[in-house]
Amino acid sequence: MPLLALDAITHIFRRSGGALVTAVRDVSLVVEEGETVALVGESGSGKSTLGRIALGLLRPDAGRVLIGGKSLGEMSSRELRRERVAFQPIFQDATASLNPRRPVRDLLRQALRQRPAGATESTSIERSEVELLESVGLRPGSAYLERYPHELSGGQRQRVAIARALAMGPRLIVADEPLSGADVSIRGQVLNLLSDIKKERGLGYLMITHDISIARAFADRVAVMCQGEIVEQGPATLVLTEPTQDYTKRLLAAVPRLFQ
Amino acid sequence: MHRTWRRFSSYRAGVLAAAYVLLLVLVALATPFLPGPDPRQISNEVMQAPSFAHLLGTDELGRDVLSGILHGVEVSLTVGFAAALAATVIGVVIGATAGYYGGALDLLVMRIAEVFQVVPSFILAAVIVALSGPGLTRVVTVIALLAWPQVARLMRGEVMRIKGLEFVDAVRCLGVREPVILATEVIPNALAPVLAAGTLIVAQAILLEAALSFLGLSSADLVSWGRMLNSGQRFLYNAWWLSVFPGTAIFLTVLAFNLLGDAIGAALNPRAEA
Repeated sequence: MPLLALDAITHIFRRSGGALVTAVRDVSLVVEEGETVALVGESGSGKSTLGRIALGLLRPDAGRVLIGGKSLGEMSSRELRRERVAFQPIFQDATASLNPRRPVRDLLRQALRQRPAGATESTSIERSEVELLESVGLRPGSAYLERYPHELSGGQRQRVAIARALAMGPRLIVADEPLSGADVSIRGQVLNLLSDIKKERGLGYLMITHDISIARAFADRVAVMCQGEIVEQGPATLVLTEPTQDYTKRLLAAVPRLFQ
Repeated sequence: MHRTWRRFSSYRAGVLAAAYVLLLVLVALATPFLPGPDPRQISNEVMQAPSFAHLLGTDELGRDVLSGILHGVEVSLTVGFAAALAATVIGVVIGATAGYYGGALDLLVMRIAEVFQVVPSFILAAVIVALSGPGLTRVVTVIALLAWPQVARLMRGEVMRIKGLEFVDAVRCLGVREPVILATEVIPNALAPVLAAGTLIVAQAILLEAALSFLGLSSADLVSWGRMLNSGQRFLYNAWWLSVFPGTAIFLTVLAFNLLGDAIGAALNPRAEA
């Protein structure tokens, strides 16, 4: 049973003028337990829309989202609230993803309060706000509790957002361009943190990125999206070295030599 | 917070208005202990021009005008604050619900708000008060009923903007219930412009109360600026002080709340230049 299965998803946006735009067209994608899948493509290719659909934040116009075999669309709102916590988001802009009126302590406490009862049985899970902060490298954790998001640096904010996601004991993290909002100096640190988390906790990632080098460094499998459709998917080593589709070839050719 | 305060204090007119409003509040709170004669006290010294004994003169029944104006602060502020508070609470709840849940509910609520907004509010207020009889509670209720759509529209727009922000989505992914998200995440972040609008409603309410009193639509034993204007206008040519001083009090107070509302609005707008 895959952790997440997107089954023939289609999503159509209505522009303010009334024109219809198909953001996602008949896309199927599977993420297995503990697997990292990179969803790569240009901006506007529909990859963020697909991410929001996977998180249950957006209802697809057609197709099904399955969490551990159960369809999101068929759940009651109560069931949905209980099940969805297994999937946690990390957004591009940590400034926008933290309520500016809550100090770090509140942001994390809110998550800890919502944590499902099953998650606390695991012995490795963090039990307090301080433990959470230290697990994402903010040491000593107590020094950050009273700070507001605007009093943190960009990298620290992203770490707090990651700590909040980890508080729920998630099985899948949907990371939408988690590094694009950060400075180059911070990108490496956050990438290492995400990779450590993956190793320690064995959780799955759906990594949405336009950056081929991240996909290369991080992913087990790669799916390439273009104009709302997945044009190619397969093991990362294969897709990124021997692409079969023209679009993937052009995407790879656009990467500066330096990183290849 | 500090930045907001700095921006606010850079608006001289706003600071001055805030000081004046603070003074009014102190006068209103101290009403039972105010020195000078009771404003309802009739005396032989009728129609006295301003003098040292009566700084702002006396009216046709020998009542002290200054005393009347000081005691009138209480009525004006009570009506102003109560009406603005009621309108703000109603507007926030209705506007936030409509903006957050959208759909048919939103459509219905906003059409109702429009109905209230197109009706000429002063005429409607006058008719309601004339038909149901005077009374402060009634005046406050009428003003609140007429003013809530301003707040509701503003709140709806803010809530629609904020509900799409990522931090709301992040909390939704924690499994928090929608009404809780609205109350604890969205509304607190949408209140800033409402605060400014609420202050402007105080000014509208004070003006409307004065106008209703001027037309005689308030209880006779109430000391109110509008009421003083009403009795003073009959003597406009031989006792100017009976009209000019209460009129000035209304003018300054309404102006102060308008300036204060503008300054709060500007200070809370992060895009504004300090």
